[in-house]
Amino acid sequence: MPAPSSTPTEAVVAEGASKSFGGVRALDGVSFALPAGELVGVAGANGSGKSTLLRLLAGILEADAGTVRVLGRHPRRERAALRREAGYAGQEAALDPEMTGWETLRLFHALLGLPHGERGRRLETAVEEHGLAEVCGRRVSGWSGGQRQRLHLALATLHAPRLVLLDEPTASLDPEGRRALWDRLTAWCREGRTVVVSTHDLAEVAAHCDRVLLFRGGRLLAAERPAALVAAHSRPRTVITLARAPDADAMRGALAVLHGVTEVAVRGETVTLWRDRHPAGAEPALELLAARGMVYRGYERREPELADAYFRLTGSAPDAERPARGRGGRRRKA
Amino acid sequence: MTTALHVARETARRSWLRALRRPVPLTFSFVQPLFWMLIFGFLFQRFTLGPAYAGLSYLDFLLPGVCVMTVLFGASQAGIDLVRDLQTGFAQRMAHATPYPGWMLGGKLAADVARLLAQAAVVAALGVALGARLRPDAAGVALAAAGLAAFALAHGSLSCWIALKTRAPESMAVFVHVVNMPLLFTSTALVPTRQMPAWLAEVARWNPLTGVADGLREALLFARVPDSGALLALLVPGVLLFALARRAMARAAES
Repeated sequence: MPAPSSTPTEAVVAEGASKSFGGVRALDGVSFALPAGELVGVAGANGSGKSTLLRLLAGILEADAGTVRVLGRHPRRERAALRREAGYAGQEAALDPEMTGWETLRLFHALLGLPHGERGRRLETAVEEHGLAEVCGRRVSGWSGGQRQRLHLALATLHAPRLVLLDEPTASLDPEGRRALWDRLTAWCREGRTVVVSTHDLAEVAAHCDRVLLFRGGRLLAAERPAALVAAHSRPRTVITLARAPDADAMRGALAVLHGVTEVAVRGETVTLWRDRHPAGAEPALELLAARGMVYRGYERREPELADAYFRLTGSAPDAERPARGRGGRRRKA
Repeated sequence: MTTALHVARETARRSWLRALRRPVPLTFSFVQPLFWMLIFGFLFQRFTLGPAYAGLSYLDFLLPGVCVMTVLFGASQAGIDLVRDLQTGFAQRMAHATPYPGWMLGGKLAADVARLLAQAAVVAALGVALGARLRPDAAGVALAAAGLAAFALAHGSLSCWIALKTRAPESMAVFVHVVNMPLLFTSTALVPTRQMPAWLAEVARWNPLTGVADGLREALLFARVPDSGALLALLVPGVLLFALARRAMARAAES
Protein backbone atom coordinates (compact mmCIF):
# COMPACT_ATOMS: atom_id res chain seq x y z
CA MET A 1 0.00 0.00 0.00
CA PRO A 2 1.48 3.39 -0.92
CA ALA A 3 2.23 5.74 1.97
CA PRO A 4 -0.62 8.16 2.45
CA SER A 5 0.42 11.70 1.86
CA SER A 6 -0.53 14.23 4.49
CA THR A 7 -0.97 17.80 3.48
CA PRO A 8 -0.23 20.72 5.81
CA THR A 9 -3.95 20.81 6.55
CA GLU A 10 -4.02 17.20 7.71
CA ALA A 11 -2.45 16.49 11.06
CA VAL A 12 -3.01 12.73 10.96
CA VAL A 13 -3.64 10.33 8.11
CA ALA A 14 -4.15 6.59 8.63
CA GLU A 15 -4.79 4.05 5.91
CA GLY A 16 -5.61 0.46 6.78
CA ALA A 17 -3.69 0.67 10.06
CA SER A 18 -3.77 -2.55 12.06
CA LYS A 19 -2.14 -3.65 15.27
CA SER A 20 -2.34 -7.00 17.07
CA PHE A 21 -1.10 -8.16 20.44
CA GLY A 22 -0.59 -11.89 20.35
CA GLY A 23 -3.78 -13.21 18.82
CA VAL A 24 -5.83 -10.16 19.72
CA ARG A 25 -6.41 -7.59 17.00
CA ALA A 26 -6.48 -4.25 18.81
CA LEU A 27 -6.85 -2.16 15.63
CA ASP A 28 -8.29 -3.57 12.46
CA GLY A 29 -7.68 -1.76 9.17
CA VAL A 30 -8.39 1.73 10.41
CA SER A 31 -8.47 4.59 7.87
CA PHE A 32 -9.17 8.26 8.54
CA ALA A 33 -7.75 11.75 8.12
CA LEU A 34 -7.79 14.46 10.79
CA PRO A 35 -7.54 18.07 9.66
CA ALA A 36 -5.07 20.25 11.56
CA GLY A 37 -6.48 22.50 14.26
CA GLU A 38 -9.39 20.24 15.20
CA LEU A 39 -10.39 18.89 18.57
CA VAL A 40 -10.99 15.19 17.95
CA GLY A 41 -12.69 12.83 20.39
CA VAL A 42 -11.91 9.12 20.28
CA ALA A 43 -14.74 7.07 21.79
CA GLY A 44 -15.51 3.42 22.26
CA ALA A 45 -15.85 0.76 24.94
CA ASN A 46 -12.90 -0.47 26.96
CA GLY A 47 -10.64 -2.53 24.71
CA SER A 48 -12.06 -1.02 21.53
CA GLY A 49 -8.65 0.24 20.37
CA LYS A 50 -8.60 3.87 21.57
CA SER A 51 -5.37 3.63 23.56
CA THR A 52 -3.67 1.55 20.89
CA LEU A 53 -4.51 4.21 18.31
CA LEU A 54 -3.06 6.99 20.46
CA ARG A 55 0.10 4.98 21.17
CA LEU A 56 0.43 4.34 17.46
CA LEU A 57 0.14 8.05 16.69
CA ALA A 58 2.68 8.87 19.42
CA GLY A 59 5.17 6.44 17.89
CA ILE A 60 5.24 4.22 20.97
CA LEU A 61 3.83 1.33 18.93
CA GLU A 62 4.24 0.53 15.26
CA ALA A 63 1.38 -0.63 13.03
CA ASP A 64 1.62 -4.25 11.87
CA ALA A 65 -0.07 -3.34 8.62
CA GLY A 66 -1.20 -0.19 6.83
CA THR A 67 0.35 3.23 7.14
CA VAL A 68 0.14 6.15 9.50
CA ARG A 69 1.47 9.68 8.99
CA VAL A 70 1.49 12.16 11.85
CA LEU A 71 2.29 15.78 11.03
CA GLY A 72 3.66 14.44 7.75
CA ARG A 73 6.02 12.02 9.49
CA HIS A 74 6.26 8.29 10.08
CA PRO A 75 5.56 8.25 13.82
CA ARG A 76 7.94 5.40 14.59
CA ARG A 77 10.82 5.96 12.22
CA GLU A 78 10.84 9.73 12.65
CA ARG A 79 10.07 9.60 16.32
CA ALA A 80 12.86 11.94 17.39
CA ALA A 81 11.55 14.70 15.14
CA LEU A 82 7.94 13.99 16.03
CA ARG A 83 8.76 14.15 19.75
CA ARG A 84 9.43 17.86 19.35
CA GLU A 85 6.06 18.48 17.68
CA ALA A 86 3.72 16.09 19.47
CA GLY A 87 2.90 15.57 23.12
CA TYR A 88 1.40 12.36 24.50
CA ALA A 89 -0.16 11.76 27.90
CA GLY A 90 -1.02 8.12 28.61
CA GLN A 91 -3.95 6.84 30.62
CA GLU A 92 -1.99 6.57 33.86
CA ALA A 93 -0.61 9.76 35.37
CA ALA A 94 2.89 8.28 35.74
CA LEU A 95 4.57 10.64 38.21
CA ASP A 96 7.20 10.36 40.92
CA PRO A 97 5.35 10.87 44.22
CA GLU A 98 8.56 11.86 46.00
CA MET A 99 9.23 14.84 43.75
CA THR A 100 7.55 18.22 43.94
CA GLY A 101 5.68 19.65 40.98
CA TRP A 102 8.46 22.15 40.28
CA GLU A 103 11.11 19.44 40.37
CA THR A 104 9.10 17.26 38.01
CA LEU A 105 8.55 20.10 35.56
CA ARG A 106 12.23 21.07 35.73
CA LEU A 107 13.26 17.47 35.05
CA PHE A 108 10.99 17.20 32.02
CA HIS A 109 12.11 20.59 30.74
CA ALA A 110 15.61 19.11 30.50
CA LEU A 111 14.44 15.74 29.15
CA LEU A 112 12.49 17.43 26.36
CA GLY A 113 15.63 19.33 25.39
CA LEU A 114 14.04 22.77 25.79
CA PRO A 115 16.32 25.85 25.86
CA HIS A 116 17.81 26.26 29.33
CA GLY A 117 17.56 30.04 29.21
CA GLU A 118 13.78 30.10 29.06
CA ARG A 119 13.19 27.46 31.71
CA GLY A 120 11.87 29.82 34.39
CA ARG A 121 9.38 31.51 32.11
CA ARG A 122 8.16 28.28 30.55
CA LEU A 123 7.67 26.56 33.89
CA GLU A 124 5.84 29.55 35.34
CA THR A 125 3.54 29.59 32.31
CA ALA A 126 2.80 25.86 32.60
CA VAL A 127 2.07 26.11 36.32
CA GLU A 128 -0.24 29.05 35.77
CA GLU A 129 -1.99 27.52 32.76
CA HIS A 130 -2.73 24.27 34.60
CA GLY A 131 -3.66 25.89 37.91
CA LEU A 132 -0.89 24.25 39.92
CA ALA A 133 0.62 27.28 41.63
CA GLU A 134 -0.71 26.41 45.09
CA VAL A 135 0.58 22.85 45.18
CA CYS A 136 3.60 22.94 42.91
CA GLY A 137 6.10 23.32 45.76
CA ARG A 138 4.72 20.25 47.55
CA ARG A 139 5.53 16.62 46.88
CA VAL A 140 3.20 14.93 44.41
CA SER A 141 2.37 12.19 46.97
CA GLY A 142 0.14 14.69 48.79
CA TRP A 143 -1.73 15.86 45.69
CA SER A 144 -5.29 14.99 44.72
CA GLY A 145 -6.04 12.85 41.67
CA GLY A 146 -7.14 15.92 39.72
CA GLN A 147 -3.98 17.85 40.57
CA ARG A 148 -1.85 14.91 39.44
CA GLN A 149 -3.82 14.73 36.23
CA ARG A 150 -3.13 18.40 35.59
CA LEU A 151 0.60 17.93 36.17
CA HIS A 152 0.47 14.88 33.88
CA LEU A 153 -1.02 17.09 31.18
CA ALA A 154 1.43 19.94 31.87
CA LEU A 155 4.37 17.57 31.32
CA ALA A 156 2.94 16.32 28.03
CA THR A 157 2.49 19.84 26.70
CA LEU A 158 5.45 21.65 28.25
CA HIS A 159 7.07 21.99 24.83
CA ALA A 160 3.90 23.52 23.30
CA PRO A 161 3.42 20.72 20.74
CA ARG A 162 1.43 21.17 17.53
CA LEU A 163 -0.32 17.88 18.16
CA VAL A 164 -1.58 16.82 21.59
CA LEU A 165 -2.56 13.17 22.18
CA LEU A 166 -4.41 12.53 25.42
CA ASP A 167 -5.64 9.16 26.63
CA GLU A 168 -8.67 9.59 28.90
CA PRO A 169 -7.48 12.82 30.53
CA THR A 170 -10.82 13.51 32.23
CA ALA A 171 -10.94 10.19 34.09
CA SER A 172 -9.95 11.51 37.53
CA LEU A 173 -11.21 15.07 37.23
CA ASP A 174 -14.17 16.60 39.07
CA PRO A 175 -16.81 18.49 37.03
CA GLU A 176 -14.97 21.80 37.44
CA GLY A 177 -11.69 20.22 36.42
CA ARG A 178 -13.32 18.63 33.38
CA ARG A 179 -14.81 21.91 32.28
CA ALA A 180 -11.45 23.66 32.73
CA LEU A 181 -9.73 20.92 30.75
CA TRP A 182 -12.17 21.09 27.83
CA ASP A 183 -11.88 24.89 27.84
CA ARG A 184 -8.10 24.54 27.65
CA LEU A 185 -8.26 21.99 24.85
CA THR A 186 -10.65 24.22 22.90
CA ALA A 187 -8.33 27.19 23.40
CA TRP A 188 -5.36 25.17 22.13
CA CYS A 189 -7.28 24.30 18.97
CA ARG A 190 -8.10 27.97 18.45
CA GLU A 191 -4.33 28.57 18.53
CA GLY A 192 -4.02 26.10 15.66
CA ARG A 193 -3.00 23.00 17.58
CA THR A 194 -4.61 19.64 16.89
CA VAL A 195 -5.88 17.75 19.94
CA VAL A 196 -6.85 14.08 19.89
CA VAL A 197 -8.47 12.95 23.11
CA SER A 198 -9.92 9.58 24.07
CA THR A 199 -12.84 9.56 26.47
CA HIS A 200 -15.93 7.65 27.54
CA ASP A 201 -17.97 10.79 28.01
CA LEU A 202 -19.95 11.18 24.81
CA ALA A 203 -21.86 14.22 26.04
CA GLU A 204 -18.55 16.05 26.42
CA VAL A 205 -17.43 14.87 22.99
CA ALA A 206 -20.67 16.18 21.48
CA ALA A 207 -20.32 19.49 23.30
CA HIS A 208 -16.65 20.20 22.59
CA CYS A 209 -15.22 18.11 19.74
CA ASP A 210 -15.08 19.03 16.07
CA ARG A 211 -14.91 15.38 15.09
CA VAL A 212 -15.41 12.01 16.71
CA LEU A 213 -13.78 8.68 15.93
CA LEU A 214 -16.03 5.85 17.12
CA PHE A 215 -14.43 2.45 17.70
CA ARG A 216 -15.73 -0.98 18.40
CA GLY A 217 -13.57 -4.10 18.67
CA GLY A 218 -10.64 -2.38 16.98
CA ARG A 219 -12.73 -1.23 14.04
CA LEU A 220 -13.50 2.38 13.20
CA LEU A 221 -17.27 2.74 12.94
CA ALA A 222 -17.40 6.44 12.18
CA ALA A 223 -15.17 9.46 11.74
CA GLU A 224 -17.67 12.30 11.57
CA ARG A 225 -18.65 15.57 13.09
CA PRO A 226 -20.71 14.77 16.22
CA ALA A 227 -23.72 16.71 14.92
CA ALA A 228 -23.69 14.75 11.66
CA LEU A 229 -23.48 11.49 13.55
CA VAL A 230 -26.38 12.47 15.81
CA ALA A 231 -28.48 13.58 12.83
CA ALA A 232 -27.84 10.33 11.00
CA HIS A 233 -28.16 7.84 13.83
CA SER A 234 -30.18 9.30 16.67
CA ARG A 235 -33.79 10.43 17.03
CA PRO A 236 -35.87 11.96 19.80
CA ARG A 237 -37.02 9.35 22.30
CA THR A 238 -39.35 9.08 25.25
CA VAL A 239 -38.34 6.91 28.17
CA ILE A 240 -41.16 5.72 30.46
CA THR A 241 -40.52 3.95 33.73
CA LEU A 242 -43.40 1.68 34.77
CA ALA A 243 -44.26 0.58 38.30
CA ARG A 244 -43.78 -3.06 37.29
CA ALA A 245 -42.38 -4.89 34.29
CA PRO A 246 -44.99 -5.40 31.57
CA ASP A 247 -45.42 -8.26 29.13
CA ALA A 248 -42.71 -7.06 26.73
CA ASP A 249 -44.19 -8.39 23.47
CA ALA A 250 -47.69 -7.15 24.22
CA MET A 251 -46.36 -3.75 25.25
CA ARG A 252 -44.23 -3.40 22.13
CA GLY A 253 -47.18 -4.32 19.93
CA ALA A 254 -49.50 -1.87 21.66
CA LEU A 255 -47.14 1.11 21.56
CA ALA A 256 -45.87 0.52 18.03
CA VAL A 257 -49.20 1.57 16.55
CA LEU A 258 -49.09 5.05 18.11
CA HIS A 259 -48.78 7.84 15.60
CA GLY A 260 -45.16 8.88 14.87
CA VAL A 261 -43.56 6.01 16.79
CA THR A 262 -40.81 4.41 14.72
CA GLU A 263 -39.36 1.99 17.26
CA VAL A 264 -40.22 0.59 20.66
CA ALA A 265 -37.96 -1.16 23.14
CA VAL A 266 -38.98 -2.75 26.43
CA ARG A 267 -36.44 -3.72 29.01
CA GLY A 268 -37.62 -4.60 32.49
CA GLU A 269 -39.71 -1.69 33.71
CA THR A 270 -38.30 0.72 31.14
CA VAL A 271 -40.11 1.42 27.88
CA THR A 272 -38.44 3.53 25.17
CA LEU A 273 -40.22 5.02 22.15
CA TRP A 274 -38.38 6.57 19.22
CA ARG A 275 -39.98 9.16 16.96
CA ASP A 276 -38.80 11.55 14.27
CA ARG A 277 -40.01 14.37 16.49
CA HIS A 278 -41.64 14.65 19.88
CA PRO A 279 -45.44 15.05 19.73
CA ALA A 280 -46.88 18.36 20.87
CA GLY A 281 -48.74 18.32 24.18
CA ALA A 282 -49.30 15.31 26.39
CA GLU A 283 -47.55 12.03 25.74
CA PRO A 284 -50.06 9.76 23.95
CA ALA A 285 -48.34 6.65 25.25
CA LEU A 286 -49.33 7.56 28.80
CA GLU A 287 -53.02 7.56 27.88
CA LEU A 288 -52.64 4.16 26.29
CA LEU A 289 -50.89 2.81 29.38
CA ALA A 290 -53.58 4.24 31.65
CA ALA A 291 -56.26 2.63 29.47
CA ARG A 292 -54.53 -0.69 30.01
CA GLY A 293 -54.32 -0.17 33.75
CA MET A 294 -50.56 0.29 33.76
CA VAL A 295 -49.07 2.62 36.38
CA TYR A 296 -45.98 4.61 35.45
CA ARG A 297 -43.47 6.12 37.86
CA GLY A 298 -42.13 8.74 35.50
CA TYR A 299 -41.30 9.63 31.94
CA GLU A 300 -38.71 11.74 30.20
CA ARG A 301 -38.35 13.13 26.70
CA ARG A 302 -34.82 13.09 25.37
CA GLU A 303 -33.44 14.91 22.37
CA PRO A 304 -31.18 13.16 19.85
CA GLU A 305 -27.74 12.66 21.38
CA LEU A 306 -24.37 11.18 20.58
CA ALA A 307 -24.72 8.43 23.18
CA ASP A 308 -27.83 7.15 21.39
CA ALA A 309 -26.03 7.29 18.03
CA TYR A 310 -23.10 5.45 19.58
CA PHE A 311 -25.27 2.68 20.98
CA ARG A 312 -27.03 2.28 17.63
CA LEU A 313 -23.76 2.18 15.70
CA THR A 314 -22.14 -0.26 18.07
CA GLY A 315 -25.31 -2.31 18.43
CA SER A 316 -24.97 -2.22 22.20
CA ALA A 317 -27.94 -0.07 23.20
CA PRO A 318 -28.88 -1.02 26.75
CA ASP A 319 -32.38 0.46 26.51
CA ALA A 320 -32.89 -0.36 22.83
CA GLU A 321 -32.75 -4.08 23.21
CA ARG A 322 -34.84 -5.86 20.61
CA PRO A 323 -36.42 -2.68 19.20
CA ALA A 324 -39.72 -3.21 17.37
CA ARG A 325 -40.44 -1.18 14.25
CA GLY A 326 -43.55 0.97 14.81
CA ARG A 327 -46.41 0.87 12.38
CA GLY A 328 -47.20 4.53 12.74
CA GLY A 329 -43.78 5.94 12.03
CA ARG A 330 -42.12 6.93 8.85
CA ARG A 331 -43.86 4.22 6.92
CA ARG A 332 -47.23 5.73 7.79
CA LYS A 333 -46.02 9.10 6.60
CA ALA A 334 -44.69 7.57 3.45
CA MET B 1 25.68 17.96 23.58
CA THR B 2 24.59 20.72 25.98
CA THR B 3 21.08 19.28 25.92
CA ALA B 4 22.40 15.80 26.69
CA LEU B 5 24.41 17.19 29.60
CA HIS B 6 21.29 18.91 30.94
CA VAL B 7 19.49 15.56 30.79
CA ALA B 8 22.32 13.88 32.72
CA ARG B 9 22.51 16.70 35.26
CA GLU B 10 18.78 16.78 35.98
CA THR B 11 18.49 12.99 36.34
CA ALA B 12 21.54 13.05 38.63
CA ARG B 13 19.88 15.78 40.68
CA ARG B 14 16.74 13.66 40.94
CA SER B 15 18.75 10.66 42.19
CA TRP B 16 20.35 12.77 44.91
CA LEU B 17 17.03 14.29 45.94
CA ARG B 18 15.45 10.87 46.24
CA ALA B 19 18.36 9.52 48.27
CA LEU B 20 18.27 12.48 50.67
CA ARG B 21 14.49 12.19 51.06
CA ARG B 22 14.69 8.60 52.23
CA PRO B 23 16.37 8.87 55.62
CA VAL B 24 15.85 5.21 56.55
CA PRO B 25 17.82 3.61 53.67
CA LEU B 26 20.43 6.37 53.93
CA THR B 27 20.90 5.81 57.66
CA PHE B 28 20.94 2.04 57.19
CA SER B 29 23.70 2.41 54.58
CA PHE B 30 25.92 3.74 57.40
CA VAL B 31 24.61 1.51 60.19
CA GLN B 32 25.31 -1.69 58.28
CA PRO B 33 29.06 -0.98 57.75
CA LEU B 34 29.28 0.17 61.35
CA PHE B 35 27.92 -3.19 62.48
CA TRP B 36 30.38 -5.00 60.24
CA MET B 37 33.25 -3.06 61.78
CA LEU B 38 32.00 -3.53 65.33
CA ILE B 39 31.15 -7.22 65.01
CA PHE B 40 33.91 -8.40 62.69
CA GLY B 41 36.48 -5.91 63.96
CA PHE B 42 36.20 -7.08 67.53
CA LEU B 43 35.38 -10.72 66.77
CA PHE B 44 38.56 -11.15 64.76
CA GLN B 45 40.80 -8.75 66.67
CA ARG B 46 43.25 -11.59 67.39
CA PHE B 47 43.19 -12.73 63.77
CA THR B 48 46.72 -13.16 62.33
CA LEU B 49 47.02 -11.08 59.20
CA GLY B 50 50.48 -12.24 58.21
CA PRO B 51 53.76 -10.38 57.61
CA ALA B 52 52.35 -8.20 54.80
CA TYR B 53 50.16 -6.46 57.37
CA ALA B 54 52.59 -6.47 60.29
CA GLY B 55 51.78 -3.88 62.92
CA LEU B 56 48.14 -3.49 61.81
CA SER B 57 45.07 -4.50 63.79
CA TYR B 58 42.27 -6.44 62.12
CA LEU B 59 40.10 -3.30 62.35
CA ASP B 60 42.76 -1.37 60.38
CA PHE B 61 42.75 -4.12 57.76
CA LEU B 62 38.97 -4.38 57.72
CA LEU B 63 38.17 -0.70 57.28
CA PRO B 64 39.08 -0.44 53.53
CA GLY B 65 37.20 -3.72 53.01
CA VAL B 66 34.08 -2.30 54.65
CA CYS B 67 34.37 0.86 52.51
CA VAL B 68 34.42 -1.40 49.45
CA MET B 69 31.45 -3.38 50.82
CA THR B 70 29.51 -0.16 51.23
CA VAL B 71 30.02 0.54 47.55
CA LEU B 72 29.28 -3.07 46.56
CA PHE B 73 25.93 -3.20 48.36
CA GLY B 74 25.02 0.36 47.45
CA ALA B 75 25.74 -0.13 43.74
CA SER B 76 23.66 -3.29 43.64
CA GLN B 77 20.68 -1.20 44.80
CA ALA B 78 20.92 1.07 41.72
CA GLY B 79 18.40 -1.05 39.85
CA ILE B 80 15.86 -1.07 42.67
CA ASP B 81 15.00 2.59 42.10
CA LEU B 82 14.71 1.83 38.42
CA VAL B 83 12.32 -1.08 39.03
CA ARG B 84 10.11 1.23 41.07
CA ASP B 85 10.13 3.79 38.25
CA LEU B 86 9.41 1.09 35.68
CA GLN B 87 6.47 -0.22 37.69
CA THR B 88 4.89 3.22 37.99
CA GLY B 89 5.62 3.97 34.32
CA PHE B 90 7.72 7.00 35.24
CA ALA B 91 10.92 5.51 33.77
CA GLN B 92 9.20 4.84 30.44
CA ARG B 93 7.69 8.30 30.51
CA MET B 94 11.09 9.91 31.02
CA ALA B 95 12.65 7.71 28.36
CA HIS B 96 9.86 8.55 25.88
CA ALA B 97 10.26 12.25 26.54
CA THR B 98 13.95 12.53 25.80
CA PRO B 99 16.06 11.92 22.74
CA TYR B 100 18.89 11.00 25.16
CA PRO B 101 17.77 7.99 27.27
CA GLY B 102 21.40 6.87 27.56
CA TRP B 103 22.39 10.18 29.16
CA MET B 104 19.45 9.81 31.50
CA LEU B 105 20.88 6.51 32.73
CA GLY B 106 24.36 8.01 32.78
CA GLY B 107 23.16 10.86 35.01
CA LYS B 108 21.50 8.46 37.42
CA LEU B 109 24.57 6.23 37.64
CA ALA B 110 26.94 9.21 38.00
CA ALA B 111 24.85 10.42 40.95
CA ASP B 112 24.80 6.93 42.47
CA VAL B 113 28.57 6.53 42.09
CA ALA B 114 29.26 9.97 43.62
CA ARG B 115 26.91 9.20 46.52
CA LEU B 116 28.56 5.82 47.14
CA LEU B 117 32.03 7.38 47.21
CA ALA B 118 30.77 9.96 49.71
CA GLN B 119 29.24 7.16 51.79
CA ALA B 120 32.53 5.23 51.69
CA ALA B 121 34.34 8.36 52.93
CA VAL B 122 31.88 8.69 55.84
CA VAL B 123 32.36 4.97 56.66
CA ALA B 124 36.15 5.53 56.69
CA ALA B 125 35.66 8.41 59.14
CA LEU B 126 33.44 6.17 61.32
CA GLY B 127 36.16 3.51 61.26
CA VAL B 128 38.73 6.01 62.44
CA ALA B 129 36.34 7.02 65.23
CA LEU B 130 36.19 3.34 66.27
CA GLY B 131 39.97 3.18 66.52
CA ALA B 132 41.23 2.25 63.06
CA ARG B 133 44.58 3.83 62.21
CA LEU B 134 45.10 5.16 58.69
CA ARG B 135 48.18 6.46 56.87
CA PRO B 136 46.60 7.86 53.72
CA ASP B 137 48.32 9.15 50.62
CA ALA B 138 46.38 11.76 48.63
CA ALA B 139 47.37 10.56 45.16
CA GLY B 140 46.92 6.94 46.19
CA VAL B 141 43.47 7.63 47.65
CA ALA B 142 42.45 9.49 44.48
CA LEU B 143 43.49 6.55 42.32
CA ALA B 144 41.86 4.03 44.65
CA ALA B 145 38.68 6.14 44.60
CA ALA B 146 38.79 6.09 40.80
CA GLY B 147 39.01 2.29 40.92
CA LEU B 148 36.15 2.19 43.40
CA ALA B 149 34.12 4.46 41.11
CA ALA B 150 34.82 2.21 38.11
CA PHE B 151 33.69 -0.80 40.13
CA ALA B 152 30.54 1.04 41.28
CA LEU B 153 29.79 1.99 37.67
CA ALA B 154 30.13 -1.63 36.54
CA HIS B 155 28.10 -3.09 39.39
CA GLY B 156 25.47 -0.34 39.25
CA SER B 157 25.14 -0.80 35.48
CA LEU B 158 24.71 -4.56 35.94
CA SER B 159 22.01 -3.90 38.54
CA CYS B 160 20.24 -1.46 36.19
CA TRP B 161 20.48 -3.88 33.29
CA ILE B 162 18.85 -6.62 35.36
CA ALA B 163 16.18 -4.15 36.51
CA LEU B 164 15.42 -3.10 32.94
CA LYS B 165 15.32 -6.69 31.73
CA THR B 166 13.21 -8.20 34.51
CA ARG B 167 11.30 -5.16 35.87
CA ALA B 168 10.71 -7.18 39.06
CA PRO B 169 11.83 -6.28 42.60
CA GLU B 170 12.21 -10.00 43.39
CA SER B 171 14.94 -10.33 40.79
CA MET B 172 16.83 -7.47 42.45
CA ALA B 173 16.71 -9.29 45.80
CA VAL B 174 18.05 -12.42 44.11
CA PHE B 175 20.77 -10.36 42.43
CA VAL B 176 21.91 -8.91 45.78
CA HIS B 177 22.21 -12.35 47.34
CA VAL B 178 23.47 -14.36 44.38
CA VAL B 179 26.05 -11.85 43.14
CA ASN B 180 27.05 -9.74 46.15
CA MET B 181 27.68 -12.49 48.67
CA PRO B 182 29.96 -14.64 46.49
CA LEU B 183 31.77 -11.50 45.30
CA LEU B 184 32.34 -10.42 48.90
CA PHE B 185 33.40 -13.74 50.38
CA THR B 186 35.71 -14.66 47.52
CA SER B 187 37.56 -11.35 47.76
CA THR B 188 40.12 -9.91 50.17
CA ALA B 189 37.59 -7.46 51.62
CA LEU B 190 37.48 -9.41 54.91
CA VAL B 191 40.49 -11.75 54.85
CA PRO B 192 43.92 -11.54 53.15
CA THR B 193 44.64 -14.22 50.53
CA ARG B 194 47.34 -15.66 52.75
CA GLN B 195 44.67 -16.82 55.20
CA MET B 196 42.53 -18.43 52.49
CA PRO B 197 42.62 -22.00 51.18
CA ALA B 198 44.69 -22.15 47.98
CA TRP B 199 41.69 -22.53 45.68
CA LEU B 200 39.90 -19.60 47.27
CA ALA B 201 43.03 -17.47 47.07
CA GLU B 202 43.14 -18.22 43.34
CA VAL B 203 39.48 -17.22 42.94
CA ALA B 204 40.12 -14.06 44.97
CA ARG B 205 43.01 -13.13 42.66
CA TRP B 206 40.51 -12.86 39.75
CA ASN B 207 37.77 -11.19 41.75
CA PRO B 208 37.50 -7.49 40.80
CA LEU B 209 36.57 -6.64 44.38
CA THR B 210 40.00 -7.88 45.52
CA GLY B 211 41.75 -5.34 43.30
CA VAL B 212 39.57 -2.54 44.62
CA ALA B 213 39.97 -3.56 48.29
CA ASP B 214 43.73 -4.09 48.01
CA GLY B 215 44.16 -0.81 46.15
CA LEU B 216 42.30 1.08 48.85
CA ARG B 217 44.40 -0.63 51.55
CA GLU B 218 47.59 0.40 49.79
CA ALA B 219 46.42 4.00 49.72
CA LEU B 220 44.84 4.19 53.18
CA LEU B 221 47.11 1.98 55.28
CA PHE B 222 50.53 2.19 53.62
CA ALA B 223 50.49 5.67 52.03
CA ARG B 224 51.28 4.05 48.68
CA VAL B 225 49.91 4.62 45.20
CA PRO B 226 48.14 1.40 44.11
CA ASP B 227 48.70 -0.30 40.78
CA SER B 228 46.90 2.01 38.38
CA GLY B 229 46.69 -0.61 35.62
CA ALA B 230 44.70 -3.05 37.75
CA LEU B 231 42.30 -0.35 38.93
CA LEU B 232 41.78 1.35 35.60
CA ALA B 233 41.23 -2.06 33.99
CA LEU B 234 37.94 -2.00 35.91
CA LEU B 235 36.82 0.68 33.50
CA VAL B 236 36.52 -1.99 30.81
CA PRO B 237 33.68 -3.95 32.49
CA GLY B 238 32.31 -0.62 33.67
CA VAL B 239 32.00 0.72 30.13
CA LEU B 240 30.75 -2.59 28.71
CA LEU B 241 28.09 -3.08 31.37
CA PHE B 242 27.02 0.56 31.06
CA ALA B 243 26.64 0.07 27.29
CA LEU B 244 24.50 -3.00 27.97
CA ALA B 245 22.28 -1.11 30.42
CA ARG B 246 22.11 1.88 28.08
CA ARG B 247 20.83 -0.36 25.31
CA ALA B 248 18.19 -1.82 27.61
CA MET B 249 17.14 1.71 28.56
CA ALA B 250 16.87 2.69 24.89
CA ARG B 251 14.65 -0.36 24.36
CA ALA B 252 12.50 0.63 27.32
CA ALA B 253 12.04 3.99 25.60
CA GLU B 254 10.84 2.17 22.48
CA SER B 255 8.34 -0.04 24.29
